[in-house]
Amino acid sequence: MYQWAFLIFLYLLGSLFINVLFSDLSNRDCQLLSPFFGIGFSGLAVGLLLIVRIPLSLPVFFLCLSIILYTAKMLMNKPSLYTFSWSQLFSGVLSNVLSISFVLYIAVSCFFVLMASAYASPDSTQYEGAGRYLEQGGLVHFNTPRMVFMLNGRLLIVGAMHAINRLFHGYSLYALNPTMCVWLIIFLAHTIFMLYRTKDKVTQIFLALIFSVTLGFYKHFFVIMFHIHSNSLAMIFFTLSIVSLYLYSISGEKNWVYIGSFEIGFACLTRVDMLLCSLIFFFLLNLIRTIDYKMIKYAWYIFIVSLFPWRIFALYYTPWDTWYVNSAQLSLLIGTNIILCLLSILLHKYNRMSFTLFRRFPLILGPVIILFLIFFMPEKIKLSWDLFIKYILLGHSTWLLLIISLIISTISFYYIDYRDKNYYILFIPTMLYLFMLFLLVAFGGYENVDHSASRMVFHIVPLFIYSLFIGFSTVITNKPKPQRGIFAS
Amino acid sequence: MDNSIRRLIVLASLVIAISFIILDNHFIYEAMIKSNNYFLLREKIRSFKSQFGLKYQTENNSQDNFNDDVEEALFLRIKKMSANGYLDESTIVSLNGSNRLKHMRNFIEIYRNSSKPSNAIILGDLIHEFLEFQIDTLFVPFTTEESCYDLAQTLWCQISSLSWFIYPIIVKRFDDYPYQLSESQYKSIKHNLVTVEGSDSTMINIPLVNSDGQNQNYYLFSYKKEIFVYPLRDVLNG
Repeated sequence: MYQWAFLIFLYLLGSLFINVLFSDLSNRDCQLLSPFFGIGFSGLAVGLLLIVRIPLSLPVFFLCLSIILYTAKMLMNKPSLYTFSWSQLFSGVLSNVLSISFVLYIAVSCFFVLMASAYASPDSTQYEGAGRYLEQGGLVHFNTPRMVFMLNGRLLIVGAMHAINRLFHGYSLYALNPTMCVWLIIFLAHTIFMLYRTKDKVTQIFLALIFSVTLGFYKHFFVIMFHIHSNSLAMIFFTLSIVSLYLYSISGEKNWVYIGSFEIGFACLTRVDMLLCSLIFFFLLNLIRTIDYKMIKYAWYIFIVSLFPWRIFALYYTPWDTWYVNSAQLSLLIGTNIILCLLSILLHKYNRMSFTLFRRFPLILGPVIILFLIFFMPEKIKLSWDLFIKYILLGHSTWLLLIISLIISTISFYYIDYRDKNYYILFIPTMLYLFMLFLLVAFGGYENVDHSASRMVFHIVPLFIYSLFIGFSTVITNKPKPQRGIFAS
Repeated sequence: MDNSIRRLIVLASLVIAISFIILDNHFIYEAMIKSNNYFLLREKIRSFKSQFGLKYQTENNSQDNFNDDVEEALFLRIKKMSANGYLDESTIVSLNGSNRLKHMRNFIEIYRNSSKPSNAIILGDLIHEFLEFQIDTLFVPFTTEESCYDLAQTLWCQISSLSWFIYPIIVKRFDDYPYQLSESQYKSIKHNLVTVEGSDSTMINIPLVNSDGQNQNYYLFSYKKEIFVYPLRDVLNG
């Protein structure tokens, strides 16, 4: 019951924050996004307490959340983005609570709490341990065993969720991941339903239903859903960020850009390797023609404010010679994001943005990197070819089927891309992500040793399946999208 | 090419792509692995992959749940799922209540036999539940640089997780004490304990102490497949 209370708290908290930040977002979208924002902001509060060296307790946690909420409200009012009062805020939250979505959320979370099913791996013991450490008043100290590993490998979001669950008198956190994975399916199915409102209701429902069943029962998704790990939440936040961009490109509602920015920030707080995915997110953001200087600036502000304090704090404690993530790797990831940030802001500020060149950037840069590696570091290419391509992608039956599916669906890409210019946003991240994993294994892998890239491929699965269904819907609809051309071509 | 034909090809390619995903279904897989034909097919595919150099062998660095014999592995998996380890229910209910017992049972069922570090965290959980304010420092006989240690006929891995679980209790690595109990020592301390079955049928024993008792140092001991957390003086005097 305590864990159930914690899961409901996440929904309510997210609802509060989303009403403050995006008061003009539709009620249904607010309701469906609430739990994800609840997780993100809870994690942020825990991170903030660790940075200012205050041991975690329930009153302090609530106080920290209140400060963040108040600051967010003030910031939102100041640039005259939105103006609203506290009473409007509470009526917004109330309407999110008195809704079918909330009842559905209560039912889903209750089901997984009562089901009490989870899959634990060696990593799960560490996530559980990190949560207990924080809940029992632990702070970041050099003398705590394997503190650097805890900072970069087990914190912030997942460790924080375990800690807050314990503060709520929950014992072990097992229902969070399945609840959120099912909620992600509901959100994505809802967007498929809404995007194709021109078709008849039966087709809309059929597509949304088939998508839900396909993704929900997909072998790896179903198993990892119950896994006590960071993979599920990282996958959820990354998927939501890219889908938010797609929704912006369709609707032109700029809230989606900022939502995407928050989500990719939360993804990077969940797993350090998501700093690679943030490059994909901001690269795609730069390709949208309707994005102006102000929007790109705010998107980066949101990302930097939500992510950088924690990552810089972690960097301070990370030595050069540590086995998990060392400070050189962490600096490289943060530095690459900063470079992309400066580049995109300056290009937009001085109207020097060449959309066509930017869109072709991966097609030019990818082969250049590969050729460079072939000539100057052939052993890296060989290692990644053996370990990532042969062992992970072709050696694991699930990934082999996924790759076959990806190759087959590439045939349809140009046809769909012609009709829906925004389709690029959904389809290309899979290619870019796999390419980045290839490079990650080349530089971070070891001969004859398994690499976490085999689990990381999972992060792209929901987005790829979603892109297949969006493509399928576009083809059966057989008419150009009303918003075509918003995306760079 | 005519647009309708092009559209048909695109539609067909998408249907095939989606079908691959639909077929890679959890329930289809669970139904398939119960048949011998599945194993035969899998072996054929594996030999095909090896023949064409598509199977890159890595060292198995996660030996958890690893078994060469596939049928035995399946049997063990099913057995593990249905196995109910021993839990000193009456003592736990009398100390912490039935609600806590339910949660504790749930936690142990999730982690028991899940991986090599699981015994360390089950021990940590028990210490936190029953001895939280009684221990100042816990001495454990794991002093070498290895990641796993053999004690009580099982492995103890990732001792850092134990430190995190029982914080602020200090976990000190120290092996200059008789951590393997003699039979007489075992008999003298084998009373007034909470016992829980951890991974690999290891019995984990925690002494029941008064909550107003003095804060003192505890040590980790083993006897056959049982481990004990006990003050050194009490063991030596026993």
